[in-house]
Amino acid sequence: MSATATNIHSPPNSGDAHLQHQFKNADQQRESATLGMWLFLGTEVLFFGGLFVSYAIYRVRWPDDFREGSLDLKWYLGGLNTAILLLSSFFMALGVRASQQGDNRRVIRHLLATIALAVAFLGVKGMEYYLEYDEGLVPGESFRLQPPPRSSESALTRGMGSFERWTGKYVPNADEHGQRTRREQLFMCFYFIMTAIHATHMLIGIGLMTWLMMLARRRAFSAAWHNPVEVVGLYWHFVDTVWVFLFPVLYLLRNP
Amino acid sequence: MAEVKEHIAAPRMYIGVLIALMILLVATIITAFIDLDAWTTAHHLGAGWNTVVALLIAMLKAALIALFFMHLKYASRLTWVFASAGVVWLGIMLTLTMSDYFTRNHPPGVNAKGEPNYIVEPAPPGHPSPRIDNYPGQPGSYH
Repeated sequence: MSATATNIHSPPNSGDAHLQHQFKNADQQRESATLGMWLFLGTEVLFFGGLFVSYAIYRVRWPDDFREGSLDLKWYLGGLNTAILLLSSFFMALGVRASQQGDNRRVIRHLLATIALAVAFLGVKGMEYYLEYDEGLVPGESFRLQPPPRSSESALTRGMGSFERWTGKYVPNADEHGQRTRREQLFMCFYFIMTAIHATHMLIGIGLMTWLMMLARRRAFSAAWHNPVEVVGLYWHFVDTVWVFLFPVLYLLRNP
Repeated sequence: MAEVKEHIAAPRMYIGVLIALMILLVATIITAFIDLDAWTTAHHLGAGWNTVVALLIAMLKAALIALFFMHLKYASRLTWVFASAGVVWLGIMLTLTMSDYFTRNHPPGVNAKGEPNYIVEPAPPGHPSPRIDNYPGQPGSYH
């Protein structure tokens, strides 16, 4: 950046080559950057909010079908993913803290931990999608009204046998005729769309963190200028917050 | 714009927030498995408390993340305005939408709880019986 030459507010050798000429000092520039991110997050709140509101409308309309749909999800995998994401947010906060001190090596370490946990989250999510596909929970032609019998050969017991024993006997989520309700598909639509959009946000976040690590490798961040880390940190914590709401709303409808 | 000097928090604070978040996660799972409505309806406190508690815990977690992880606690007033704007507008959207749906005469012939609003005459012989959505056990019901 060639802002130093045109910067009239700070002396040329203030060590702050990143200060743009329209800002008084680094603090003002940083606040503008975070303010812009908060503005973007406000639009994101409304973006996810639209989904949550339409979810609320249909859940009020058909509470029983939503409960049945929720019982077909694996709450322990959702809970595990919540814990993973909260932990990743913690490491992101530590990464931002390291960047505030201008410690590029610790920034890389904490970002690596954050990315590893994000990949673990997506792995669990992918496994969940596979199990749901296997159980015929994908809306549309492949949606199975008859839940598959819980045999030792099923994908769930192959992968999750110990979990099933731990959580007790499998109870098929079906009405008195042993059938899933057709409208459970509506819940599954919300589930797949909301979690897929959330996962897309996570993929974008992983990409941004990779970019940050490349910058940190070049020792780009200093105590005076680390706005990208701060801003991506805000984004990542927001993605975490969305999941904090998605988890109880989708997975925990046992006693709605 | 009055800029705010950056606040570098102690790592101890982040660990404390993480522990609080994990405790709240366990709390939300435990309360989901307890049928709170069994107690509240017996004491005339209404139904739907599991949802209320789950959302309150989620809001508490979101507040912890925003205040400490996202440094909102140390941010300027202007940042607070920006951060609350989205939530306020979401609240307006949710309140107005749900006030419509909670007070609406739900077609076809059911209220918000899925109970029929009126008794359907049985269909004359040779005609398909009328459907009432979401009312299990009715002949011809779509369930």
